[in-house]
Amino acid sequence: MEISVSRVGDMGEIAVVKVSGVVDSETVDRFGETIEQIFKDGCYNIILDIGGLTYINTAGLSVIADAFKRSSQSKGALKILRAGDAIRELLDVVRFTKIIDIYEDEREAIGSFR
Amino acid sequence: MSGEIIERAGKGVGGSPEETVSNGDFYRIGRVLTAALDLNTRLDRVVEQAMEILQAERGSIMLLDEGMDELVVRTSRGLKEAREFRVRVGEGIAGWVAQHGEPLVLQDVVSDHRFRGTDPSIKSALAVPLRVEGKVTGVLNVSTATQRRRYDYLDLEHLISFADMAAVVIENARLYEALKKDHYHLGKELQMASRIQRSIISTHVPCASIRMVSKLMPASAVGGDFFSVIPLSRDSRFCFYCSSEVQDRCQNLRSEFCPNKFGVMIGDVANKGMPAALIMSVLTTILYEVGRHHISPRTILNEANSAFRRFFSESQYGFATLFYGFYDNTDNTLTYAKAGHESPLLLRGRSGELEYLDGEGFPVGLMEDGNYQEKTIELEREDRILLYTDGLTGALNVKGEILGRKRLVELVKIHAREDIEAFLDALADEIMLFSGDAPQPDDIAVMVLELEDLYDLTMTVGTEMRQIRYVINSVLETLQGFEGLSDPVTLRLCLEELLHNAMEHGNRCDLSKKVYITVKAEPRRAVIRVRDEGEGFDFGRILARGQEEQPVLSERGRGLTIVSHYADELWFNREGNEATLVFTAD
Repeated sequence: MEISVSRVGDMGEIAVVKVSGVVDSETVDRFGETIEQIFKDGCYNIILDIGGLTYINTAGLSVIADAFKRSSQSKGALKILRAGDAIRELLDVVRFTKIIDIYEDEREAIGSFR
Repeated sequence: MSGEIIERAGKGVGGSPEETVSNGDFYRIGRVLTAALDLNTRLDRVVEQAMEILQAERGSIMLLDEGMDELVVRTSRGLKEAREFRVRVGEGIAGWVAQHGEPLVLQDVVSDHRFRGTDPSIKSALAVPLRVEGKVTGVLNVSTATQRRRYDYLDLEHLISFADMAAVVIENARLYEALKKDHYHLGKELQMASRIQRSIISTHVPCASIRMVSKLMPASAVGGDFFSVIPLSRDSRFCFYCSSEVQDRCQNLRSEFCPNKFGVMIGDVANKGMPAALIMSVLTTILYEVGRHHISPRTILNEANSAFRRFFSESQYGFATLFYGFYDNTDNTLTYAKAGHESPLLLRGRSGELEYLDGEGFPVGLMEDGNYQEKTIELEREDRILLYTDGLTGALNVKGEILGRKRLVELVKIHAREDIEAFLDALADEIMLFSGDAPQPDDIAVMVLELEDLYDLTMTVGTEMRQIRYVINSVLETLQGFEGLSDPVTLRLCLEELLHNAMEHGNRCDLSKKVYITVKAEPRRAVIRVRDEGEGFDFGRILARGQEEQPVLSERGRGLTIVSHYADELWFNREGNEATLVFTAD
């Protein structure tokens, strides 16, 4: 699993989390900790770029679900950027696509926070 | 002392006959008093009736609290003193009546030296003892504040007659209440005993390629029939664990038991209910402990026999029949010995033939030398063994006919082709059908074991999350020949979920518990089974939740939703601790 965080937006108020590779039992904790750190820094607007994600287990999905809930409660939002077909199907199965917006274009995703 | 006080002499009662309470009245009063069995209702009715007969404005019943030597007001009408008002025996008017066992008629209560009340308006009062078999159990009081009404001997006579009847009515309700309370506590204890009895029965087979189902049906809450699976300790010198072929795969297995060898036993204590349950508990514990370190059924039965004779030396404790078998997965043999127990049935999977696992030996507890003999049989895949107690063959129908072994064998043959869960259910249904409304005369225990078809992979792992990746890789490696493997991501996802569920929710992260995995790989079909040692769960409810439109927010529900979406088939055993996953190549 590769994971990186960058800040975008006029004031750097949006965190873009780029996660790729495999989120499984051995990497899920690092995934969760990265998101946790963003919340700790007081940022609740998150774009999760999962274009390079090949595998994610349910613990990984739980991290996404928790992040979605916490950001919404703090008047922020969590958006997903570039979900591949397999991952998109998985998000459909657990019906995350009903509550989380998915974007194909990064600028569009950033724009959605305005 | 007031001159108006007339203590009852019990003789020379005057008064006009028309005022007498007639037999018809007593009949009616009796009906009213006994209408309900509840003590408080009866007390209320007694006071009300007494007040009606005596045209009193106030009335109360005090019952004797023997331990405290006190009278306690249990019910009252028109009284200022609260319920639960207490007086010592010997104190006050009621206390005097209780102490002397004599009734009182008082025409001016307040001036009586025994009066301890707080209501000065009371004028005339009657107090009579309630007696059962000559013993005072309480006091019935009525009083009036009306100037015109002064109670006399005749009134007293009426109240005495009434009180004699009332005392019996109250006593019956009291006894009933006490009995009900005892019954309740006894029921609670039995319920707990039943749970304890079930908890000492272990039915986790430590071997991935053996399936087992069982039923225990005591004739009452607890019983003397039992069965158990006894895993062999790894430290046993007989354990070939380290040389088994799965050695390299299972070296990380943190288990104190050998995954290839185990004992299986079934027994019947010759007694019923609680005494049998107590003996059964001791026997099960002994067999479990001895069975963990020995592989010889003969040795184990000898130990059980001497233990029984040591602990239950008195002849009234009877004996117990036992069957003990030791299964070795490395060469597929079952070595067994019997102690006067019904011969288990061996149903050969290939030929469909039936064999009896017979042998010599006296029930344990009967003889100093039980004369136990050991036999060894070779088992083949799909062979099925039916272990049972004589309650099964001894089931009675309404005509008093016994089920018998012949009929049992017929039933076994009829249902032989069904899956073992369905097989056991069908047998239980047939027995119930046969018995009809006839009560079950004896405890029934049944256990079915089956050697499953040969697997391409069997694995046993400890409850450790870091084992998951290793298991998944082994399974995927085994499935190389499976044509549907083109999408290993979904397969991997499903496997991870099932293993995760088994460890976290099934075994509740208990490191001593294991997870069993079997894989059967064909070119166009792959069957993966994951079993844990937990208590199972209500999979139907969780799967149904996955059908709803809402986002699946519980982790377990989410995992199962995913698995049932990607797998071609997903089902659970009845307990909910074994998931079977089927993938087909499209």
